[in-house]
Amino acid sequence: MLLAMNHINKSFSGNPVLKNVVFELENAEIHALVGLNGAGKSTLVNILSGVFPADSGIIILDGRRIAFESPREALAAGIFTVYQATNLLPDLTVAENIFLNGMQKKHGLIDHKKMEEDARAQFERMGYKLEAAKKIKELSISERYMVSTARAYLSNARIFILDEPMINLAAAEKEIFVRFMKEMRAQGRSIIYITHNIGEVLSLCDRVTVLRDGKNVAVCSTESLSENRLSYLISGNESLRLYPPKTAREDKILLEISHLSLEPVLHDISFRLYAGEILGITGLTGSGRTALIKTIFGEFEKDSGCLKLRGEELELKNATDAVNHGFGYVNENRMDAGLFLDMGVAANLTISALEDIRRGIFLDLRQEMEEVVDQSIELNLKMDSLHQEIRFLSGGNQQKVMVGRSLISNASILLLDEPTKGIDIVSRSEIYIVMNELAAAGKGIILVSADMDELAGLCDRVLVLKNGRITAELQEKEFSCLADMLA
Amino acid sequence: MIKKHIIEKNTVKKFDELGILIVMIALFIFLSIASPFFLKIENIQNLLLQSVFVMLVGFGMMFVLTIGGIDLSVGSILGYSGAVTGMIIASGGNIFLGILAGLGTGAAFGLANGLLITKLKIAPFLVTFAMQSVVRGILLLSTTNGAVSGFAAEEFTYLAQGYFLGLPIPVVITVIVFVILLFLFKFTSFGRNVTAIGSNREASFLSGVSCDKITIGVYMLSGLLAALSGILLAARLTAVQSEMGSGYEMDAIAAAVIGGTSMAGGKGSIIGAIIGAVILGMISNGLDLLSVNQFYRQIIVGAIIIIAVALERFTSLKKERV
Repeated sequence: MLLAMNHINKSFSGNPVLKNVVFELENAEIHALVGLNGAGKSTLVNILSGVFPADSGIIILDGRRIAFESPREALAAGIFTVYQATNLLPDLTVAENIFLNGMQKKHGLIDHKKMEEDARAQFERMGYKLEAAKKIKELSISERYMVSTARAYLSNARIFILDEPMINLAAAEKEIFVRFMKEMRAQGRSIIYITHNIGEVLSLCDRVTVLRDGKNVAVCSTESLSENRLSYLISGNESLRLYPPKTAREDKILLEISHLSLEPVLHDISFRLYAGEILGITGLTGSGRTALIKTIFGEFEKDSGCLKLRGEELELKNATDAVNHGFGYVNENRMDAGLFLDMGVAANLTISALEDIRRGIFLDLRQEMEEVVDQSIELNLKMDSLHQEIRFLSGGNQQKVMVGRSLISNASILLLDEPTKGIDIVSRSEIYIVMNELAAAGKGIILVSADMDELAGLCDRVLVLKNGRITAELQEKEFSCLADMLA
Repeated sequence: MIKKHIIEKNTVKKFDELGILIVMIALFIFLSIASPFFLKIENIQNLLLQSVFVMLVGFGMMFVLTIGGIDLSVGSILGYSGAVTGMIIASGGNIFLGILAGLGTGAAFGLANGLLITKLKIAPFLVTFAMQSVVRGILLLSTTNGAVSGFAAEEFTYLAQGYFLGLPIPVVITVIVFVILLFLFKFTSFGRNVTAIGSNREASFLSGVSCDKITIGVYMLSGLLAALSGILLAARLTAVQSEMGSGYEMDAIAAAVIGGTSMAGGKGSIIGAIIGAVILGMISNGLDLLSVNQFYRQIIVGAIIIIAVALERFTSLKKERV
């Protein structure tokens, strides 16, 4: 056995987060670590990688007892954590970042030419195109992740810790990443793979360890494991139904977009959104799906085309205007462009509705609290208090607050961009229920998603975007060819 | 009813300023014991009077820091606004008109700051740093023939030297301003939006907050409060020197930060700014009473800023869960 973590305990300010957790890793194994948000996955790998120590417990690596005091020590012992993007230096070049821990020198000076050549060669081996002299800050999130992957390739680590690695990757990049994992395994190295994506667990991983509320629930091979069984192990809820039954849309056009263009990303987009409908929009990264949402919302100024709300033509100047007209937007990037991390749950919920909860010039705090309490019950928010700073909530609960914000502002059209990215199945099913209730109440929802199951589970119609054009409109019975339409 | 229960459970809010309040009380007790003069009515009146000039500027700075900006121009605005009021009164103008012109001057410079920051998208530090220099230059030009003076009409100096219910008039004015600002910050959408923009500007914009308007408003408020402080200071000193108000920006930042306002934005406290300004006042006052060299003030102020921020850091770390 390569690694054994035995009887690991950890609490934060008196709250136990890990209780006697056991985790074992074999040589040449891809081992999934799964559980709901707050189950203790991140805490466990943070202990392994030296971010903070365990309160008690024994960690044995290769037959020797270890306890890392810093990430640096863990790295030296061969434990490599691939972070989303956080450990890249934005002002340095791609090549400099890849060789950060071992800059190549000539006569005591850094040899940039050699470094860039080596970086280029590495990307070539990976089958990926990226300019090695570019600065990190000029790259997209997925390109940054590929830089981290190149760095991982060149390390001689024995254990890789990957936390939701595929979440921001497009199909081609996912393929490269999967190849990376398989190559590492073939070389006898091991991977700890944290994810909420049950499909990835079953298709990519050899074994899975399930945590729930800081305790071990199961360790098993993925070979004979079914999707339902794994969902049950994670949630502890036998009857968990991810998707609620669909509701029928009304025969009333809520929003009509005709001949919308935003050069050079969107060309001649036309579609209708009916009241009570959840309309899916999908497409690869770069297909214009996010640009479309932002253009509808007034954040980007369209070049031509027209937008009709309930039959009346509308010219949205900016986001404020859109909110006032009943649009709600849940950004795909909730940390950077969604949440007010220093503010309480209540203030986060009501930020778009402040105009409605005024009495004279003052805010009606009593009414605010009533609305907030209604929403927190509706959304089943898990928190200590309504004034708790939102950064202490789990990702799933944070995302529920994002959706709840549009509910309180009484939005009639919701634009949801990847609303369930990176959150666990229980929170996901709760968000789906809320979406469904909204649709049943006659609101219109545009759901942008790259998750085919999600689209099939929620939508009656799905529009496929490709290079800024709508290339297909699929009805429910045609959903099986969704994946083919994208390619 | 569950709902009522939840609301009641959540209306008990923690008092964030407790840590620094204890520091203030400790300092107060120490000075009462160390000096027999400290608790004398005249000294307390004097202490409050000394504190309010920085306090007023500190209120504005609190708003600016909370929105994620900084205003280095307040010291110069304070000086020049006082001079404008002084010059108008000295040249025989109406006192009321003079005060209004002074306040208008402050708000106008604040408006200029706000417009440059939002429309040209220049960093607040640079805009207000430049504005500090420009406004100080204008003040120097207006005082080339010596300090602005000759405006000591009794009705005007009463503003700074008179008493109401045993309190110096500037203290009374500051209390009124405090109440207005407290409501503005805590109970209006303006205040809520200031915190939201400081916490996450992009998210505020997407949530429909008019970020530019609110930002401009905050810098105008900061300029206005600096002007008010400058006018009161002019009334107290009965002359405006070219260097009046220089360094006030740093004291105002210190008062806000000691009171728990975050330099990174998203978190501010009006009550904290009061406590911060009173602590600064007590340090000067205490050193005077104990006949200690005023240069120690700088060292003590620096130490207290670090203690206050560390206190805040420590308490918020305890709340944190990973």
